Amino acid sequence: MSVSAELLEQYLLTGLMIGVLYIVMALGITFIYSIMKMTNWAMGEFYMIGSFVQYLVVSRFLGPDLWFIAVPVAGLSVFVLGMIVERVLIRPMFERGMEARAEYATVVTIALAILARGIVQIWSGPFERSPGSTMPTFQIGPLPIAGDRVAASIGGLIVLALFWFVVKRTWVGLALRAAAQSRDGVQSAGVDVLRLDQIAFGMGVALAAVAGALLASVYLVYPLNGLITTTKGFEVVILGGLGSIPGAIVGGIAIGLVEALGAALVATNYQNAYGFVLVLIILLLRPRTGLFGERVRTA
Amino acid sequence: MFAPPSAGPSVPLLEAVDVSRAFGGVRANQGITLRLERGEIRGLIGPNGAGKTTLTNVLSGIYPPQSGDVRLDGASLVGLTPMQISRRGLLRTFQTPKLFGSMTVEDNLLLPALARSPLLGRSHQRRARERAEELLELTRLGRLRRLTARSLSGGEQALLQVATGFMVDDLRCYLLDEPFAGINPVLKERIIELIRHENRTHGTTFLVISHEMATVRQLCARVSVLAEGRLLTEGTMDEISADPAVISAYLGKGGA
Repeated sequence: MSVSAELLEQYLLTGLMIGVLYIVMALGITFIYSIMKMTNWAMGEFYMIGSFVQYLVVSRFLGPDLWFIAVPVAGLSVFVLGMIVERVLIRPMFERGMEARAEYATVVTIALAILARGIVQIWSGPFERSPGSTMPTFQIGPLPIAGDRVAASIGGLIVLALFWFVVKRTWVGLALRAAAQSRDGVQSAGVDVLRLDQIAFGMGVALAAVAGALLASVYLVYPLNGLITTTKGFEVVILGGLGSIPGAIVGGIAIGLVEALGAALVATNYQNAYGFVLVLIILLLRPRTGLFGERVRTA
Repeated sequence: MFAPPSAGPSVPLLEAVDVSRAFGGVRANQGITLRLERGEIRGLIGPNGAGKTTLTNVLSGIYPPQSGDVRLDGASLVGLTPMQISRRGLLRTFQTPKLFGSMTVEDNLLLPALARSPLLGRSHQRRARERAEELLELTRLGRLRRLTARSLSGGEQALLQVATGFMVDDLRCYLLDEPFAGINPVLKERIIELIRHENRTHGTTFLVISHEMATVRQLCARVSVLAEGRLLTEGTMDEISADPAVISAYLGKGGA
């Protein structure tokens, strides 16, 4: 099957753009893991909640022209929601000092995911909604690109820059980086590691919510919309290595590009499968760590 | 904020009363009573296995004592977590530096300023930065500030480790576990200078565990000696080094 160079370029550009949002998803997963050593399986539900907040705020208050104001609203409200969820449901697993507490916390997030999906399904029904988009189609050279996709990836880049700033340039970021290196270490420096967990969890799920908000008009809004994007997030994390921020970036771009190439060269119908093929190959080559991951739990 | 009101000058700053701690059959600390006066730099010596590190762990809350009491300024610390104890102003270092290897020297210093809350007010931020500058100057680590802690020499790491404790606002009592072990004389001198400076300017009380007799003699007016889990004796370094019980503890029973 032959593809024109122009079409291929267009696919690759789309792949890069969606890759930025995979990075955002993966960063949320990997960031929570790097601080709390737990996997948050409810990431997709926070993505879903973010997309619903976007939909409600745009459709009820702002209108599609002012969609970009709804994105920080979605991010901040899910940040607060995440902090509350962490305090009420996750922290009790960490406070009692029992064995395998990160595993218990992980199980809690699975239950939370099912619960959140169920509640939203009861409340909103299974319908797909769209906040609508008034973004014009962009013309990049000879290539037409859907405006809401361009906007989503630019929004994703802004969120990544903001995340970088918070982690590298603020006091909270200093404490979070230290906690990622050694939980015991920050505790013996007198820093309250449970407070840091709460902030990290809030930040991580806020990243997912922002991805959901940015993609609301592209992938639509419905109770199960978090599944596919989150799966992509986990693919990226496995590819790049759990706990690795450079891994999340390289992995996000790689999955985005592989999907685009697969769609262009093989078939669009299997778009969601190509990433898995790449993941399988990397796992065969570097089964322990992915591309950049930390070597843990070799026992 | 967390400190109880001072119980008055007659109460020692840090007090271990009849403290015991065993691990299985090993009785690491047996009925140890130790009192540190305000503003004192006390030495703690003893042969290997005498129970020095266990005592430090009990004092700093890593293990609770199985019997006896630990009091800071008259208030019992038993049952508090190490973090709660450090918030009351009792801090400790570990034999191997617990620095954040991939973070810079400066970040390592700033971190303990976040001990109260990860969200600092402006004035607190400014004070922390000023204090970090002062410590970078005192330790002469200023020119290494942007390097990662991992890239420092062992001695520089030990110096930085001691300095991080002084970032805690209301540090009252600082337990230093072997701060001089295996460190070159120049850096050893800098650590001593730093301890003396903080003792003089902030009235910080120290308990210094060390094997280096010459350094202990130089730094500490009074020294406590542990042997086989018990407090053997206390006194000036001169008194202690003349004590036959101490000599036999170091040389082994029947050795002297």
